[in-house]
Amino acid sequence: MSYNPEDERLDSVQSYVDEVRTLLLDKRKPYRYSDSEILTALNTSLAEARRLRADLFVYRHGNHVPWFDSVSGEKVPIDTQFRLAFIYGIAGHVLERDDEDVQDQRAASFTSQFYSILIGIQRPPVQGGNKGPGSPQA
Amino acid sequence: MMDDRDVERLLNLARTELVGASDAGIKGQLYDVCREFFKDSNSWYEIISVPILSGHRHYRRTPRDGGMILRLATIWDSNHITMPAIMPHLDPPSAELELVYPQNVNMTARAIVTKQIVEPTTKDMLPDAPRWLLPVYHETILDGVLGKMMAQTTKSYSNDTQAVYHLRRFRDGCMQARVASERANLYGGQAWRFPNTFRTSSQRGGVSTPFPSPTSW
Repeated sequence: MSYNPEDERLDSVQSYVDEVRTLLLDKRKPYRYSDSEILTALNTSLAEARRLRADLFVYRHGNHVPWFDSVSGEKVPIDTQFRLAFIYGIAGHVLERDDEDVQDQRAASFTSQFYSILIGIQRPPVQGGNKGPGSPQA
Repeated sequence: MMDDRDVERLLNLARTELVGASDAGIKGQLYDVCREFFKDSNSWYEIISVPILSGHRHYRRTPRDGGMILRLATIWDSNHITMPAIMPHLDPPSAELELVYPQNVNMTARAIVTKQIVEPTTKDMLPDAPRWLLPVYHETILDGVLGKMMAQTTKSYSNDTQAVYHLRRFRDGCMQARVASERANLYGGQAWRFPNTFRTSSQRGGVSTPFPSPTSW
C-alpha cells in the first residue's frame, strides 16, 4: 500500500458537500438542501470548531477562520482525523435550519457527534432516524 | 536543526498518547516545551569570538549556529583571563556585551553564551533547536509535550493526573540537563564550584600563581 497525500479524499468543499448529501439522503436533483445552505453550514461549523479547537486553525491561519462561498475543489484545511466531525456538524446544522423536514432529534444527534469528535473521546450513538414529512425516506 | 527521524519519533509517540490532538497543537506545545527547557537548563550554549578594540566597551554579537543569545556565562581575553562584563541589552537573536573596563589593546576574546530557540520556526512549524536535543533529552521533551497537552482543559486528551506526572518528570529532566550542562557532561564531575572570589587566575608580581600562596590560607 502506498501513500500519496494528493490522493486524500474528503479534503475539498465538493467532497464535503457530496458526503453530507449522502448522510441527508439528498443525492438526487432537484436537491432538498441547496448548495448555499450546505456551504453556510460548512462555514458555521468551521467557526464553531475555531471556538472549540483553536489549535486546528491558529497555527495555520492566525485569527482568521477559512470561509467558502462556492462548491468547488478548493481544499478545506482540516486534519484527516477531524473530517468526520465536520460531516456531522454540517449535516446537523442543515437539519436544524430546515423548518419543513422536522428532524430535530437527528439534528441534535449529528451536532452531538460533531462536538464529541472534536472535544470528547467516545462518540454518542446516532439517533432520530425516523421518517420526516417530505423526506426522501418517506 | 533537529533530525527528521528524531522529530517524527517524538511526534508519533505524542500522537499515540494524545487521542484527538492535532499535529499543529502538538508542534505548538513542542515549541513552548523547548523554550522552557533551554531557559531553565542553560544546556544550549555557544562560544563566540568577540573582536575587542581598545577603548571600546560595547559589542553586539549574533549567534552563528541558530537560536538567540539568552545569557552571558563568561568572557575570556586572549590569555584566558576572565573579563568583567555584563549583557544588559537583548535584541533577539543578538545581544550587546558590555565590558566593565575598556581594554588597552586590540585582541580577540571568547565569550560563552547560553541560547534559546527563537522564531521563525521551520516551514513544518518545528523549532530550530540543536540536533543533539532529541537524541539526548527525548524523554524529557516528550514528557513536557504530554504534560502541557494533558493540562489543557476541555479536550479529549485532558488528564489532570497524567499532566502532573509528566510535568514533574519534565521539570526533573530540565534540572538534570542543567546539572549536566554545568559539569560539561562530565560523568562524576563535581556538582559545585568555588565562588568567583576564590578564582586563582590572578597575576602576582608578574608570576602566574595557579593556586593561592600558603601565606594567604
